[in-house]
Amino acid sequence: MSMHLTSSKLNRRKALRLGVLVCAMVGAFACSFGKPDIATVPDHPSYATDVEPLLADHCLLCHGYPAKRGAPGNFRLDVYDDNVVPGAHSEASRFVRSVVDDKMPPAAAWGDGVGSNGKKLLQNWLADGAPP
Amino acid sequence: MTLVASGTAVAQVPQPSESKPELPAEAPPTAAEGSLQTSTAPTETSHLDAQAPKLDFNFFDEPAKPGLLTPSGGATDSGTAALAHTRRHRLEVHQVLGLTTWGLMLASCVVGQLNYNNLYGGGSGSGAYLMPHRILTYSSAILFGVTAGYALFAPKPYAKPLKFDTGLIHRIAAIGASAGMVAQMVLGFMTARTADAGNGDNLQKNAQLHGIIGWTTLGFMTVAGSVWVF
Repeated sequence: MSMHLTSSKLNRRKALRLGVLVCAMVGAFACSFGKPDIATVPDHPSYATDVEPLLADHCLLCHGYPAKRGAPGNFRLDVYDDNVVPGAHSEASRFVRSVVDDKMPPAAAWGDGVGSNGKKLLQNWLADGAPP
Repeated sequence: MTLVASGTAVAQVPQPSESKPELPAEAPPTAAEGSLQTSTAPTETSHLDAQAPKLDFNFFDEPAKPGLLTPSGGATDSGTAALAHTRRHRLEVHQVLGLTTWGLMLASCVVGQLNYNNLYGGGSGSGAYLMPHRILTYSSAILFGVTAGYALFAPKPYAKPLKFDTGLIHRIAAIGASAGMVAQMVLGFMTARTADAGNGDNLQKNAQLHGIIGWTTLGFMTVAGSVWVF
């Protein structure tokens, strides 16, 4: 027995397939793939207790040691000690600015950054002189 | 297709052995037929015309529809011939693009595997293959879409019955490859975005699944191409 599909049925099928594809792509774009924002912002944060856990969630995948995924090898965020990483303290303001400006992490431009509370935490830390 | 025996044909008085196979099997012999077999007189022709059974019947269920190809392959009208020509041209382009896409997909899979080994398989983690893999996969996906478009939007001037042949194998493999390609695009996007967010959770698992689906998609594409090339 021969089975023929009419052109209108074919067009409907094509439209359905295209719709599923578009929905999947839009759904993928709409989802969040970063870690959730922190719940509370400490007034006087320190690197060891507050900043390092935030960096572990959003930055250390690339900016650890050794640097990965094309990150520059001379810029580390896993250690905040001038004796280990010369110039670490002087680099603090630059890296906080890149986070606040949504330049880092790279997905921040798509809404997968450190979050508004995370940004406030970093700004408070910098305002206090970026204590270790 | 219709076979018509007109009154004039009957008047030529064929031999009984020749005329019987042309009659429908269920047609009972009539008195007129009996007289036809024995009569040779031209004067009886008009009488036979009036009483002869109607020999206008179809060998097949339905007559050929306008716009279809005839069994010999010739088009019934120029419009259909033009559509068939367009279809052939588009499918030829589809074939060339398909083989190119296959080559790009193979390169994507190889570079993707190198990328996986670099990031998760004990490599340096430098990400040296990230950008080449991204360029190759974007190119493959775009070319795959264009190739599929050439096949999907090729005109169909004639109906083709669904049967198990190389065409059906090609279609099944192409559907599998399409599903794999869509899954790859979504999963690859998710993996890249998760990494760009600095989130390491499930990253290796997603990359592993992305790789498995990628090689499977290449397998489907290989089958789809092989049935035509070999």
